[in-house]
Amino acid sequence: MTTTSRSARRRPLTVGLLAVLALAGGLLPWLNGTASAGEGATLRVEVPASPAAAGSTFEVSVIQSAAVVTTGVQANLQFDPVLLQVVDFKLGPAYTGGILAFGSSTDGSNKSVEAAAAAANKTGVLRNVAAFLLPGSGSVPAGEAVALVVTMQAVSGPGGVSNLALEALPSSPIQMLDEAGSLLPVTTTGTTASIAAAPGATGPPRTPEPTAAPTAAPSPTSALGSAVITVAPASGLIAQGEQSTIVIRLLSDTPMSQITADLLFDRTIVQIIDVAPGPGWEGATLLIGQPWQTKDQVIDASNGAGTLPRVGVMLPLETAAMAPPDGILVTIRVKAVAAGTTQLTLNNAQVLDINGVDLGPQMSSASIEASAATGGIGPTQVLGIALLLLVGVVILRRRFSGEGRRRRPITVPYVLSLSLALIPVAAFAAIVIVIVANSLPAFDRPGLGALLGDQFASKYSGTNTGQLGLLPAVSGTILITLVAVLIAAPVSLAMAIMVTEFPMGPVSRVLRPIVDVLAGVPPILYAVSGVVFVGLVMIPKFAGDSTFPLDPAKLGLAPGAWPPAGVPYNPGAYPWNPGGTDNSTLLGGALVALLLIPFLTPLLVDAVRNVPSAAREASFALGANRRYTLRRVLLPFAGPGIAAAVALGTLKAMGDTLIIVFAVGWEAQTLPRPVVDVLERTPSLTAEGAGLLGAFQVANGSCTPTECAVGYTSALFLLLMAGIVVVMMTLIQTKGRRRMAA
Amino acid sequence: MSTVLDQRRATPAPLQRAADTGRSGLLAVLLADARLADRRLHVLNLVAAVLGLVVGGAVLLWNGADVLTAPALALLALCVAAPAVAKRRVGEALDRSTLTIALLSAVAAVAALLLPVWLYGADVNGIVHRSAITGPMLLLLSAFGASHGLRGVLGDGPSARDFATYPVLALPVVLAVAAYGFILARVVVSGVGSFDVSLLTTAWTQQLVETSGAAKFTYTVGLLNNILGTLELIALTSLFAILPGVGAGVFMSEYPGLMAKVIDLSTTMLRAVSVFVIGATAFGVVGATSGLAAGTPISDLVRGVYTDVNGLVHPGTGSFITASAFLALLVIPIIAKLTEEGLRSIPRDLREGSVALGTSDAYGLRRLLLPWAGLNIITGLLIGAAEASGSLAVIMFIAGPGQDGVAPTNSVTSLDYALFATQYGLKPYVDTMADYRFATALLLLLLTLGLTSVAVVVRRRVARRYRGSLTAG
Repeated sequence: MTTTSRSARRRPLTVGLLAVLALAGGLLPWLNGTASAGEGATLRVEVPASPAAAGSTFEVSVIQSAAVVTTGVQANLQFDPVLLQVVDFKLGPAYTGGILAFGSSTDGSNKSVEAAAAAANKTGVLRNVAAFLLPGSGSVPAGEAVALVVTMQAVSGPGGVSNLALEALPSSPIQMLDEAGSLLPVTTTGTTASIAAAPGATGPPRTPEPTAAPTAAPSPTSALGSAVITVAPASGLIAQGEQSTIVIRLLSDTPMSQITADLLFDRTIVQIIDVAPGPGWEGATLLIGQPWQTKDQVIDASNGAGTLPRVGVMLPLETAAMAPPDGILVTIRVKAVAAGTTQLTLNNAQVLDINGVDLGPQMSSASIEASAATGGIGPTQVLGIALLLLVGVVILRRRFSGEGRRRRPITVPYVLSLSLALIPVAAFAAIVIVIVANSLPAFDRPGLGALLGDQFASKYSGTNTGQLGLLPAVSGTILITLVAVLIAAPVSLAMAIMVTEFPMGPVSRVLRPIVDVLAGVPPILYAVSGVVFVGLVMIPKFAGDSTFPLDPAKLGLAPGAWPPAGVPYNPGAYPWNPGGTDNSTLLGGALVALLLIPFLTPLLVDAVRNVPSAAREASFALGANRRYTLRRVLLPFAGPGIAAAVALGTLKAMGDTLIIVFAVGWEAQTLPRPVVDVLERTPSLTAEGAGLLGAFQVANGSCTPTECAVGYTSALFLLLMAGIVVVMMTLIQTKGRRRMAA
Repeated sequence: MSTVLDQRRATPAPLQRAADTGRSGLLAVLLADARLADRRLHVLNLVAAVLGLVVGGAVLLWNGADVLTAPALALLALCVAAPAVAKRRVGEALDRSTLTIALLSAVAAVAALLLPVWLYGADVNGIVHRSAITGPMLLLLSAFGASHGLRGVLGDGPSARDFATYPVLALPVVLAVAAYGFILARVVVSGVGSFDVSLLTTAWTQQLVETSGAAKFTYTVGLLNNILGTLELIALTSLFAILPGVGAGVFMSEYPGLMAKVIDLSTTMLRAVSVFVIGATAFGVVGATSGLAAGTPISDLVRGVYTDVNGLVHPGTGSFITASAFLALLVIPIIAKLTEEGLRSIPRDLREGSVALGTSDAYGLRRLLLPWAGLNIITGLLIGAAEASGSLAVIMFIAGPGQDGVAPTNSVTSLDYALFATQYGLKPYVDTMADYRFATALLLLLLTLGLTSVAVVVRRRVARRYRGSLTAG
């Protein structure tokens, strides 16, 4: 189907592809997701314009403005309790005849308006105040309406300015209901109220924190009582997608031994990345969650629930007896995942002094505002732009290369086969995207540095280090693949030579089809029957059985010679780990080699057969025997083909290491010492990734967010390794082709 | 080629033998006769090597034979060295192979004596008996020794050297074939032993017996759904894979250029990327739909449904359609490569004849190219089917026991899953099906061997076509 006609059209298909790609690339910034401001509804606060005199009362209105008919609103009003006090609140005129709800049952503030006001005045937040109309009793028409009216009194004192903000709290969001009772997206706007100084009052007027947007709520740090714990974000405003730190500080006048508190936050706006003991105390132990939980488990759970339970530090008593500590106890790294404001509240704090007495500390709260993403240059956009540039450069080079180009007519077969052929291309791109996207969280937590570490804490063995380094698994993959290829390549080569150059009568005639057929045996069968093979043939070669501790007499050692002194305890290694029965890389590699041989042999046969017969016959004509021809002519000529076959075999071995989990396990915990020790269990990336993704659990596959992300990261590493092998294979083939052409 | 060498061998003139050694001159002619005596010493060499092979085999199977390795190696070293010593006396230089084998055997003998009985690494991890090292060493050196001895016994001519490579080639082949024979024999014997015809006709189900207090279940054991599942996977995978595969193959061979290179790279990478990555992607895609309830079309298509013991319908962990779609990604590169090969092999005459007669591209594709490559496509489908039925990683993430039957939107199951669950102890499946593990393996083996055998036969027909005339078809 060589083209014989030249068309005058300029590659419309390529241009069309380019246009589609440009469109997609241009849309990427927007696809990166900014929280849409929504055409939903707004809630705002209104106060009297002139400053309120000290001691006077005034009304604060919560005004809603919606484009649709609404039937309910719920909000929390935040204010500075030192300057203002809530006296009363009631339904606004829009909700006449409706229901006023307020408070929560946990602190009794839902019993009456007075109780709610009292609770509000203590904490500075009027919580959970809601107005709604029951179905059938009317609705609020679209437009502006006063939803709630709060009567507040200005407290006497130095005066100042108080923020009045509508905040969402972890357990009480800001909501508006439309006519059908479904939620509307709400944006809120706060305001400030200025309070005049009382006559004769001294001291500077209170002002809200000077930030560009109303952010941090006032945090009372007055040291009432013996201890005050404060939570303070490093900055009140962070951009979406960025990380920041929050510290929990302690101020006290008595030596402490243990401090814990719960941290409440809005999990839809920030997520916790890491928790570490702060520099305030030397030698403190971080407490987080329950004692049997790992830090990762607790952080994962808290990112789901919005509460970081029991975070704090504990000091050994000797240190605790020192001078009263002030300082940063716990540093928490958070990342903003959506735009909005989150309150950071401490709850259930417990401060124990050196006698174990709970001092009942004062707690404070703060807030962080996350600004919307600017849609600027992020990794997605960079990738898209780079892709566009690459395609553009390639197309432009072809366009201006000056060589005569064949113009292809756009025929039905061309379009049909192209569209069908693009399916695997799209599929591969989709695979890469899914793997990369799912492994991105792992680059936040535990972070690239930890991922490249050489310690891996098993989720099954109960060790609590919470480290997830993948380096042992990478080295395990390399070791197993090396052992497998080193065993399989010579055997396959021998078989290939026996089939092609050195046939041995009926044996060779039978061998080729046998090998072809064996190539189809599924890998799982090697696992199933390989166990028995290993048991009968190989196990006796490995010390003893799975009894633990090992009997030194069995090894011919004097009693007491085992375990040898000075060898560090390696929980993943046999025979320390009674769960591993005679496992080693050598075993696993030999099994994978058994799998590889039927795969490699046909490839090598083809490689040897594809040597041009001219070279072969010339060699024989000059009087060489078959052995000399093989060694000096065929193998060098078949070199690139053999290299390509070995590369393919390597790739298959890397992937099929999954079947030998029974021989080497699926958790690579440490690097063996020395690294090339093939007598140790060195699980591979595939097995470890599968284990992380939950494939070996009883129920079908479940994993915590961290584990899932690291599992996908191991798939990513595997992708990269495969890519490297493919690139090397292509280079070898190009070099070989050049050599043969020369 | 061989006739020439045979002719040469038939002329045993001293001059000829001298020429064989690559030396010339009077000295070579004089030495030629001395080499006859060499032959008897080489018989000794051969005997020692055969002894070494026997001992090596015994050592591989039985640790106790380890005491014999050192003497066997020493014997080999001596016997290889003996003809060399004789040669030296005559003034001939030693050749490299004799020296190497003798020296290595001597060193190995010493090592076999000095190594501790149990070896372990610096971290004291796996502990291995020294026969695991000395046994293969003995076998390897004996093979080389046998090759060396054979060469000497046969007169050290070029064809003797040819023949002498056989022991070295045969050793790994024999070992590998023995290993495979053992594995397959084990599967067949145990499978037949535990086989029960009812496995083929009943499906594995789990029923709730009583609900007061702790729930009790009864099970029916069988492989019907698994077998049907595997067949359905093969059918659906082939269905999904054939069009893109053939399209890619046609494009790569008919329209070479940048796009073809991109497609080639993608298909290579799909093959290169391990099954685990594809399985992880399947897992991710299924996980992305986890928010949807059962009954929505997307959830049904992607995750499948299953009915639990109480009769409630839940979204499953992956439907046949999802599994087949991802398995098709593995099969597409195979079909594409084979199609491309087939199309490349069309003789130019046929192509040019078709164009000269004025046919359009579409007609040529329909009437000439695809039928010619048809056998290749069928081979690709068969090999791909075998791969699909055996691919573990995709299955292990999204499969289940398949109690509900094998409609395409049901939770996927296959024989592979049965093997995987019984091998790695996934409850409650393993409790009931553990006895039938080898029967399952046997069924899977029969299925895949059947598919690959048919593929091999078809491939031979394809190859035979090229040896024939141009218009064979």
